[in-house]
Amino acid sequence: MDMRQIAVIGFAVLTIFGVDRATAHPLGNFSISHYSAIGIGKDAVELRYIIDMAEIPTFQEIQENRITVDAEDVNVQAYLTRKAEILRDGLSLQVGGKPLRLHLDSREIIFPPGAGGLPTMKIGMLFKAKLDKDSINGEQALEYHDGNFPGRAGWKEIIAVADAGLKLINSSVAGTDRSRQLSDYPTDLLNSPPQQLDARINFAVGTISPAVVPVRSPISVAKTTLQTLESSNEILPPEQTYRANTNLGSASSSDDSSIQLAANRQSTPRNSFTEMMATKQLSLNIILLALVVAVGLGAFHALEPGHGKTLVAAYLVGSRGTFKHALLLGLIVTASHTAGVYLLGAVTLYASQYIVPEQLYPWLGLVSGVMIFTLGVILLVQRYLRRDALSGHVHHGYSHHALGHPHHHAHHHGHGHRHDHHEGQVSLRELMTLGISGGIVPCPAALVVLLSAVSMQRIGFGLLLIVAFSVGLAAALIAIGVLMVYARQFMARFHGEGRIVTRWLPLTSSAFIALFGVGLTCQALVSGGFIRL
Amino acid sequence: MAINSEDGDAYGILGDALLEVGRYAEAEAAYDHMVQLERSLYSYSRLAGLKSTRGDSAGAIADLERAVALGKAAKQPSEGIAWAEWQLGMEHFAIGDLLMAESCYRQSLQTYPNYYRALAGMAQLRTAQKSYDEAIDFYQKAIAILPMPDYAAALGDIYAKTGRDEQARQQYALVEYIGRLNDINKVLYNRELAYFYADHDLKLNLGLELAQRELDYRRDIYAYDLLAWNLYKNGRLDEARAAIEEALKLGTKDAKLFFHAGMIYSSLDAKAKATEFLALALSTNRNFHPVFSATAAEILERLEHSTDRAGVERQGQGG
Repeated sequence: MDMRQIAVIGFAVLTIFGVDRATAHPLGNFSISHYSAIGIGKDAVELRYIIDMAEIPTFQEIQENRITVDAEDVNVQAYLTRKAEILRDGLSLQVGGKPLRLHLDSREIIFPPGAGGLPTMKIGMLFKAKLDKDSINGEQALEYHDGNFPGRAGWKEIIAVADAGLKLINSSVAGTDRSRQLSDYPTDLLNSPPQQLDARINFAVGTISPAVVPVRSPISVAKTTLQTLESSNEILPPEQTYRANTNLGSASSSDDSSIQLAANRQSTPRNSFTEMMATKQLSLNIILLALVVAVGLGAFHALEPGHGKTLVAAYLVGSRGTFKHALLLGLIVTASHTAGVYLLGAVTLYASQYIVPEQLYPWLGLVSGVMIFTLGVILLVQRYLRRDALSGHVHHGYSHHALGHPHHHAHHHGHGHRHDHHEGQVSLRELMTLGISGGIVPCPAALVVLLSAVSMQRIGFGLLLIVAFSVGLAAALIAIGVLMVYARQFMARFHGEGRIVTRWLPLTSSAFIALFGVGLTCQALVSGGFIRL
Repeated sequence: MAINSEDGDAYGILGDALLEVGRYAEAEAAYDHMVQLERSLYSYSRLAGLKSTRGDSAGAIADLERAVALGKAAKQPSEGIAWAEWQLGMEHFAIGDLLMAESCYRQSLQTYPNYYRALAGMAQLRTAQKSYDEAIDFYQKAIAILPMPDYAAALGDIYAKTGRDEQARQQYALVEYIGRLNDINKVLYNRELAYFYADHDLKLNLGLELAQRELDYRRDIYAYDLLAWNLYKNGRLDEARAAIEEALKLGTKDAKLFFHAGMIYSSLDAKAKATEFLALALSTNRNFHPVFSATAAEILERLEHSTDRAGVERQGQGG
């Protein structure tokens, strides 16, 4: 097994556990992002400086400096030393008008995978600058300027905090961290990221003040101070990220005086399932592994909103469905989901000049929304009428083979067997309608896999992956269904088939199905531009 | 437009989209409507682009000058004004007026310091003037701000021309890397990469495939030029001729288009047309490209020489 295969398997394992790191850089492939955290202490100013290079600048650095994507490599270490000096020369820090010399205390480099697994690069440096004892008497002005990579697009953030015993009188920058040291960019700010390259802070030795003084309306997402970030265990590097941390100076080896870099947390519409298609070499092991991963992803996918699990659950709870029905419904949803993907894929391929798949989603959504709504209403009306007709004895609906609860099925109210079965059986037509409506809207992820497979001339593999994905989806849906059947039976036993189970549960669930249909229809109408809000 | 029919920007964006897909008449109508609604930096810049495509360089230059003046008067964002100034420089460069082009690029850089387009414009200008070191410096500055694939390709060409093969290789690798990222990101078109492959005789099959795919999404004249150039490189000359004729249909004055046409006709042995277009390329802008200007001159000379010789032979036979 070569390194590439190991990397692919490592990646696949990560995807199984839902860790989806290998995504495009959230600020664009061209970007270089900056982060400066200025910590003012009584004796020294500490500057935590991080540079996050997206795929293209990383490639340029790798080319120009002839380095490999291996943080442990000697060449990379030499590069890191050089780069830290170059970057330091681009920074200026003054207190009381006097320039301070920044000493490199520790540095780190990591290469988190970006779009298509291509490397990105993060460099972190911890600089320290001694404060002149005299300079911290009375009020002082600190000025900071980051002159690195002028004009280059990216997230540019500066924060400033002061130690206890120091007071920040005012500051042109926030005291809170918005991007978690460039590892978690707030998505609402990605289109207009902060562009701070200068900071002016007035501080004084004086009354003990809170360590953080947010000044300019902090749009903070995470109210994390520098101190808490330093000791935070939350920011851990992903396993596949290569790192090297070099502490300079013996006294600075404790955790909070070193740099800990983390890969970006953002995920993009290109998910791990899609990425699997990009695997270059396909050996049997890789294919099997990919299939296992696809099954896992399918199961997880079933738990995301909008894939019929709510419908399956609501229907089975309300309809006296059995294990068999749960199985059947799960299979129908999955089959229609898979068929939907294939159908849409085929349509997209043959009509790609005229139809954009995005235009088809709302139509499919509309069709299934209306179908689900109609079914919900029919069920509601049926069950409401049934309540009047069968008032007081609606509870004999369980199938006789329903999983070991025969004692609930005595027909002691004189209703004939025929009626009982008609009442209790879940109609196949209902199941089909619901299953197909619930599953027909294919998820973009599965469609992208299919289309990527086609564009990479790996149609067979793509189809196979989707089948595996569907198997996982089915297993999860069936499991949910079975759980619902059991839960309802358990509840029924508990309440002795009281009014809740016999009357209100079926009514509520059918009302829920109708509402779900309305929701789906509205969503389709809005997203398809049929109506404007 | 349904919400606010007085919104000039909406017509502007509609026109842009129509222009990109090659529906020029409709684009013109949209832009005209926009100009009627607002006489601004944005409306005149757009009109200028269309005029330029139609080969009306003087009209385009006049509109861009008007756009810059209106932008300054209305205190529009400096990057927008710098864009129009850069575009004005490009118009002058296209017709070989290097002095005016330089003045416009400098103005653009003054309006918006380190504007990457103007830096790249200066780089192209210095290349045309054969001041390669300065050109390299300008391209490096532009790439440091935004590594556009066409800048990297042009920088690579200068490195190659000045014998710095390793640096050239690095820039070419960057172009391909950006193309690969575009593919991963499912970017629909990859025009720069397809030009790059054809210009450098690399991966010609892939280049042609990209050019054909480009035409699925955009049918503007440059999509046809790209296809023609890639078909020519793949030896499919008749199809290349059909495509280049489509690219030339609007009468665009672009030395690159004329050069491609000249090369295609030359290979088809249509000597008169080849001579006409190669001469046109060089008269439009003698230094339109660091490598292809020389190629055009060389082939033109050969064609004229052979014509002269044929003429002499004919005269000899006649006498």
